[in-house]
Amino acid sequence: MLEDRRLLWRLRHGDKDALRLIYERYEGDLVTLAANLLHDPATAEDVVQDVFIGLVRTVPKLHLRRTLRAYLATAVANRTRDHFRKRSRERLAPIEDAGQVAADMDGPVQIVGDGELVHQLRAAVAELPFEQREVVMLRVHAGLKFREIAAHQKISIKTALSRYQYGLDKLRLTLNSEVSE
Amino acid sequence: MRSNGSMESMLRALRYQATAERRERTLQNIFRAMDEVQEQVPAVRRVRIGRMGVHPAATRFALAAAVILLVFGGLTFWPSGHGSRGQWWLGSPAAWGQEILHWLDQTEAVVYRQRVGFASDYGPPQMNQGYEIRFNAKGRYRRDRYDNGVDLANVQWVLADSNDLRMIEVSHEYRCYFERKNEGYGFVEDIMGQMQSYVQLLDRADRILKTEVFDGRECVGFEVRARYGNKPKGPFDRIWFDVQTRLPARIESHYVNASFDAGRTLIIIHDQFQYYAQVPVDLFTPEIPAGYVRAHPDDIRTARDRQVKGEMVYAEVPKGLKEKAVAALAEAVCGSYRQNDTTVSFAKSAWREDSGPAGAPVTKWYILRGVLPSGPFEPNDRFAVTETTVDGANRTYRFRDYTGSSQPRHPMLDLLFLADMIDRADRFDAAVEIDGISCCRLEISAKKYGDNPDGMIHRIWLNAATNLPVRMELELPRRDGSGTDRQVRDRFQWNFSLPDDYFMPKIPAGFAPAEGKE
Repeated sequence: MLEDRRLLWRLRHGDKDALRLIYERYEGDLVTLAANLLHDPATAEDVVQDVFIGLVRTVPKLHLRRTLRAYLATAVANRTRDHFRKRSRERLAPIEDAGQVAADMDGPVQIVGDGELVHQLRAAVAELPFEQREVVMLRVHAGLKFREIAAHQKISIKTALSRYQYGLDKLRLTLNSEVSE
Repeated sequence: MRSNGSMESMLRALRYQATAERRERTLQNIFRAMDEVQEQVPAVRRVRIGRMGVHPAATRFALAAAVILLVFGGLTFWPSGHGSRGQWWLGSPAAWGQEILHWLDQTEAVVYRQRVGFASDYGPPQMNQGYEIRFNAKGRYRRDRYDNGVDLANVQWVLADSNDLRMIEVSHEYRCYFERKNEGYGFVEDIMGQMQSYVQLLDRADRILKTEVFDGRECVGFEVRARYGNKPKGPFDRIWFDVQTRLPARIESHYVNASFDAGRTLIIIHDQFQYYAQVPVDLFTPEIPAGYVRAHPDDIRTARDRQVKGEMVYAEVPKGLKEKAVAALAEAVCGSYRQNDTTVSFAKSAWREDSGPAGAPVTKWYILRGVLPSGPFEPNDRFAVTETTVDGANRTYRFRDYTGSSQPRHPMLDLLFLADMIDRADRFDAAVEIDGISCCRLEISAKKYGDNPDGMIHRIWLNAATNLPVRMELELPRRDGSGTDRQVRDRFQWNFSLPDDYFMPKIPAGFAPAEGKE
């Protein structure tokens, strides 16, 4: 945490090496978070880019009250929510397309690993309501505490915990039914 | 049915990764945005590292350091005034020296490892197996000891307690704990202050070391030699900074201690630093494991040793050494040694003790009389020891006869007794040198032959050529537990020529019989 604060201090003073270090440290997790939330790997890196551009613009006034990881993860979630809302006004990609996207190894963002279970899991995640998916992904891929997730979604901790549990239950059910078929 | 844990593991494996080209493109886009932001900020409001409002003393130091290093360093410390290819340490210290001090100021707690070892010109440094993990925050300290390099043997916490210090120590080795107030030996260290001093010492740095990788991190080092009387091989320190984080990553203190071990240098290394912006309180909260008793480890060890008496440690003493040492003693015609201020000389059937100042010496002669035992010097009722004391200070003399078990013991008895214990030694060092003589050294616990206290230890140095003693020590713990006393016998001489009447008592003319009990 101290290292992050120190890197931000350097970034605030125009040090590009510090920015590169922050990017290299968190980009992988943030792309994974965005891709899982959006269910659209191609857009995930754009979201991350927007978040970092937002960071360099706000860093002179930024007073971090939590970890940099948590700050960036919630920024990704916010941007993702914006993308999601924009897309929901159009038409969501059908779930069957998910496997096609993942299998597209020539894209700028690729899924790590492959296999039937990964395919099923991706599809199951895409089926979760956005609020549940966000809680699950912020918890699993960004390591946020339920207190932080609750503050981000402006809900109680109890609700955040419930959404997390419902999310996992649904994923479990979907996967079990896939296996039994 | 999958558990929450297994579902989380599966989800964690659901990862995405951008291609290298995409990442680089993103990064360049972000850099461009950063350039735009910089251009939009009016020049007068742009913050420069060299003008940061950090600690004024630190600023003064950093600027002074730059000047001093450029003038006195002997090397081009910051040759161009700007870093090149990410080598920030070649850049202005007004930026990085200040920055390090700033971040050390921000640090509330540090955790690090301490190791001790030796370096010589004849091979790589040899570090001790054991190490300590040290935890340091303001008014809170903790030290974890891994004596064998693997198992946590002992933890000590020292915490500020109103105006006092409270020390709690847990021994995992003896499954016990104890507590003290204001313990003099409790672990207290100001590593942050030490590091700040090191950074300020860079104005005396002699050279920048080549970058090296420690624990997977590239570090750049600075060497500072203490200039004690211009000794070329004086003590020196090295401080290494993480190239990426710029924080201190390793501190080496190289001591020269010729009296301890000639040709070798003692090194203390602090490394594996972890910095905390907030004190991790749980790390400094004493924890007494369930079932541990409230007692000092020494007391537990004493009790345990009593239990396992007879199952002592036995060193690998060379076969036949005991027999050679016993034979060498038995064959000795005469010998002498010094014990405190007394010189003890002995032959087969007599010995004498000389003490006191030169002008008023006190000499005691002891002569064996009667039928000598078959063993070399074992006393029995069939022979006696006559003691003659001549006191030069009081100008008196006295005779005393001893028989049976009250007889004074011939000096050779102790030597033979210990020689007979050689194959039961706790420790054996094959090659040591003492008083210029090549020796082997043995340590024998007094527990090996009786119900003696912990820490009562005999040490014997045997001449490697003759197998005769060169020095002997007996370490004796005091009864009040305040430490140990040491009895030393040294200046051993063997089989030298003596006047024929050396062991014959001589009463100087004019001396009177001493009064008192016979």
